[in-house]
Amino acid sequence: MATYKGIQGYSVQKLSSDPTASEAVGQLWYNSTAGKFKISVEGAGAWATGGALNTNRSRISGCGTATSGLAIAGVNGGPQMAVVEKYDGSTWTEIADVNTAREAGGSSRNSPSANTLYFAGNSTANSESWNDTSWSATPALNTARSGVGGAGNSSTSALCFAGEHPPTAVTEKFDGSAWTTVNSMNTARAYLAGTGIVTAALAIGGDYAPAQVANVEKYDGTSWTELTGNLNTVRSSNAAAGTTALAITMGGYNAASTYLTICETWNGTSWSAQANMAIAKGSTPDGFGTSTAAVCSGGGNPAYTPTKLDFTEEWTDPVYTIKTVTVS
Amino acid sequence: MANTYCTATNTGKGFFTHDDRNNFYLSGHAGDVWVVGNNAAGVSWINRVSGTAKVKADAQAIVDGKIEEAQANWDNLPADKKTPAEGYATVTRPIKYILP
Repeated sequence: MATYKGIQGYSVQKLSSDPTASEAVGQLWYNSTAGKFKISVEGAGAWATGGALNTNRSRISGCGTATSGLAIAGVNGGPQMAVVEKYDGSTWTEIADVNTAREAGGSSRNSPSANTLYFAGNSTANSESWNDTSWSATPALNTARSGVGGAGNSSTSALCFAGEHPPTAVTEKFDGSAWTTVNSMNTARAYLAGTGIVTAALAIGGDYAPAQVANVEKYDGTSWTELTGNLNTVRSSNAAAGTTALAITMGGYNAASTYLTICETWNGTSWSAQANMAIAKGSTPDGFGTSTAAVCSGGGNPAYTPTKLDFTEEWTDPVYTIKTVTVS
Repeated sequence: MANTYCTATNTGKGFFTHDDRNNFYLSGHAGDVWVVGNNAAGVSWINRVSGTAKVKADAQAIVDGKIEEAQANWDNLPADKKTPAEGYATVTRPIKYILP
């Protein structure tokens, strides 16, 4: 009887179960349980559904990784919310509330879910730190505001930039003891997306009445620089995740107030359109993670009732898949 | 025909996967309406999620109805809730659109 080795001149591994797809890219094996040849292939980035939030809301802030993230506060048509939920990669679980209910605050976006700072929102100067058990008041911002951008990697290292009313370019840095006003952004705006840390942050899109902006600015720990690489789709109230070198932004709405499924990634030089989310999410959905493994949850879409969403989508890039090989 | 249509309840994790999204077009709309690429993978997904197949006109009618409901809710808002704060172009009456 002809063998694969005899035909192709190669030995093929015989395995009783499939290996992890990401660890077997480009490999061919024989699955003896299924009685089939298999290969692992690398595909384009894509969005998949995640677990739904327990509380529908928009104007959320968040932090963490795709398997351990937070959705902090927000609003759902009524009073502002203090609710906080934690995501484990599958399920959202409600944890301790923030002390002051509010919407459109900022957070140390790149901090772990166990150690973050939540600040501003509802035109307040409030700031609270999270230690994985409870929220504690920390020194107030110098400028009260809403719709801010946030960056940072812990509860003692944070950057708060832009916001309203009216649109501002004011930037403040928190060192664990106090907020200090530092160099302002080049373009005042509100309801932008922020990501990064205090020495390397991105301010992405945003509102400057009466229109949104496509420009993106980078903070280097001292000053903001307008990047030449604008977003391909003008937007505000979008979400973001990642670093100044590799970032992703998703959702929001554009100048025509169209709620967006559109997703773009930043490679340090330019923004590139990626696969869309399945459901449009504006009104500042939660966003956290990295440019290759991110989560986008909640937000608003006026076509839905209620208009504030609980949907979660998870971004993975690339997508590894095991395929069955047909031998003819 | 490029797309097919169904209603299905989003059950969260696993409802659609990354692989699904790379295998067929998918977009979600109000009323649990889903526009699905019309290929074998798309049809298989509709079966997997126990979707109810709809012709485009019926799917559009469901979405239109939901948007009309949202428009009525918006119309009943107090005036100060309809006016974008500080002129921001962010608070709008829902608008009907054509499904792809």
